[in-house]
Amino acid sequence: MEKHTLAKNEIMATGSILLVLIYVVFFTLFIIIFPIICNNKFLLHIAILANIFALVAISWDLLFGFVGILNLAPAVFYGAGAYTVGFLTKYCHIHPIGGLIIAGCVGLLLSLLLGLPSLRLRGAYYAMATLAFSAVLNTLALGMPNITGGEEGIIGIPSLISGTEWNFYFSSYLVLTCVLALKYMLSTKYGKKLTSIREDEILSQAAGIDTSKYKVIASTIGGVIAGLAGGYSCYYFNNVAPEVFSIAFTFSIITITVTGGIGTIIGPVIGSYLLTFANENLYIIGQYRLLVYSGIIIFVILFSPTGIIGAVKKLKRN
Amino acid sequence: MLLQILVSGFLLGGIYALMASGLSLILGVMRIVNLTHGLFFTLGAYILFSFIIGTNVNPFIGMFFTIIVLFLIGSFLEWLIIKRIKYSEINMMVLTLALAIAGEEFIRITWGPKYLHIPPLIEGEIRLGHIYMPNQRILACFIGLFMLFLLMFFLKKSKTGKAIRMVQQIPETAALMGINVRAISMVVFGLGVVLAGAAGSLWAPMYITYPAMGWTPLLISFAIVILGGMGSLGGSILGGFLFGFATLLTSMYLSSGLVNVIPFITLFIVLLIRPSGFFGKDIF
Repeated sequence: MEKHTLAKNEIMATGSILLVLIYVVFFTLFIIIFPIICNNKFLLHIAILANIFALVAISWDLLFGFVGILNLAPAVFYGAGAYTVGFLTKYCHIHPIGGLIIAGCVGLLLSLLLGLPSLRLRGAYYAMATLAFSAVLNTLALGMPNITGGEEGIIGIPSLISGTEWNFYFSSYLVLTCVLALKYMLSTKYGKKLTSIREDEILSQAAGIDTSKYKVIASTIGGVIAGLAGGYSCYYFNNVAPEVFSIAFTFSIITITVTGGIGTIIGPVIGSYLLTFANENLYIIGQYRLLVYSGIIIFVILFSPTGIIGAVKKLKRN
Repeated sequence: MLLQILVSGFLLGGIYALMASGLSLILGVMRIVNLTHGLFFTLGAYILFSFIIGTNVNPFIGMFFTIIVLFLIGSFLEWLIIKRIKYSEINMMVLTLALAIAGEEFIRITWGPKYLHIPPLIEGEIRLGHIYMPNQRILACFIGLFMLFLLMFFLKKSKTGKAIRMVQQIPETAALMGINVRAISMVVFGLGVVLAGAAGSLWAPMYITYPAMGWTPLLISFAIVILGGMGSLGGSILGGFLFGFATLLTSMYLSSGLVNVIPFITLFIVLLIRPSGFFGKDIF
C-alpha cells in the first residue's frame, strides 16, 4: 500500500509540474502579447499598480486568510521596503538589484520583529499593536524631514528597469512566482498544517503542531513579499513618501483581499486587479473612493465573508 | 512649571478617561474591538458644531442634544450592522474599521475637509499664582468627570446598569436569567458611543476640528484601556489621567509632531510585557 501511494504521488507531482510549466508558458505568451495588442501605456501602468498591490495583498492574506491573524499593518513591511530603497539609494547609491534584495531582507527582519510578539498576543491585542506600529512609522516618516524628507519623501530614485513594458513583465512575473510558490507551499505538509491552525488553533496544538513556529514563518514570508513589493514600488514610482504608511493604504489592501476572497491565493490578485482598474476607470468617484471601498467591505463582510472566490465556489457547489 | 503640567495634564486626562471608559464598556460587555470609537469622537465634535453654528441654541443645550443624537446613532448602528457579525472577532475588527473609514468620508463630504473651529463654551481663564487654566478646559474636565460619575452610578444602582454588569460578568447565564441581551447590547454600544462623542465635543473647542481627528484618540483610548486593563472601568479612568500627564510631560521635551509617538510606543511595550494591563482580566 505504502509503495503504491508513493508512486501515485510521484506521478501526480510530475503531472502537476508539467501543468505548472504549461501555465508559465501560456502566461509568458500572454504578457508578451498583451502590451502589443493594447497599445496603451496607461493600461500597463495600472496593471503594474495592480501587480504591486496584489503582492502586498497576498502577503497580508497569508496571515489573515490562512493563519487567521489580523495584521493591521501591511503598510509597515511595504513602506519599510520602499523607504529602505529610498535611503540606500540616496545615501549609499546602491545598485538597484542590491536595493531590492535588501528591501526584502528588511521586510524579513521587520516581520520577525512584529511576528514574535504575535506569539504572545491574541487577535485584538496584536491588531492594535500593529496599528500602533504603523502609526509610529507614519509619524516618524512625517516628523523627521531631515532624514526622511518629511511630507515630500525621498524623490529622484532611478528605476530598476526602464520602460513600462519591462516593468509590466517584471511585476507580473513577481506575482506569478509568488502565486506559484505559495500554491506549492500550501500543498505541502507545511501548508496543510498552516491551514489547520486557522481552523482551530487549540486543536492543532493538541495535535502536536508547533503553532508559534508556523505563525512566525508565515509572517516572515509575508514580510519578505511585502518588503520586495515596497522596494520595487520605490523604483517604479521613483520616489517614496509617508503615504506608504497610511491607514488608507492598509485599508486598500484589506479591501482588495476581503473582496477577492481571503484564504485563497488567487483571491487577492483578482481583488487587486478589479479594484485598481475600477479605481482608475471610475475616477469620477475619486473623492468618494474610500467611501466606496468601505461600503464594499461592509457589504462583503455582511453577505459574503469569503469574498468573490468564496461566492464562486458556493455557486459551483450548487 | 511642573505644577502647570500636572494641572493641565489632569484637565486633559479627564477627557481621555471619558473616551477610554466608553471603549472599555463596549469591550468589556460586548467583547468586541470597536474601531469606530475614533469616528464617534469626531462625530461628536461635528454634531456639536452643527448645533452651535447651525442653530442659535445655548451651547450647553447643544451638548445635551449631541449626546442624545449620538446615543440614537450608536444604538441604531449596533442593531443594524454590528449585531450580525458577533461570531467573528476578526471580521468585527475589519467591519468596524470599514465603518470608521466610511463615517470619516461621510463627515468629509457633509461638513467639508477643511479645519473647523468650535467656539469655546466658556471663554476666559482662571489664574492661580503661576498656573493658567482656561475655563473651557476646566469645564471639559468637570463635565467629563460628571459624566463618568453618572455612568458609574448608573452601572451600580440602576436596574439596567446591573443588567449590563451581569452581561459583562456572566454572558451566557445572563440571557438565561431573563435579561434582554439584545437590548442591553444596543444600550451599551450607544453608551460607549456617547462617551466617545462627548469626549470629542469637549475636546474640539480647545483645539480644532477636522475629519481625521479621531484616529489618534482611538489609538490613545486603546492604549489606555489596555494599560488599565480590558474590562476594568476604573482602570481606564485612572489610565486616562495618567496618559493626560504623560502627554503633557512629553510635549515639554519633544516637538509636537513626535509627541503622538509616545502613546503608541507605550502601547507596544505594554502589549509585549503585560497585555492584561494593571487592573484587568484577560478577556480574549
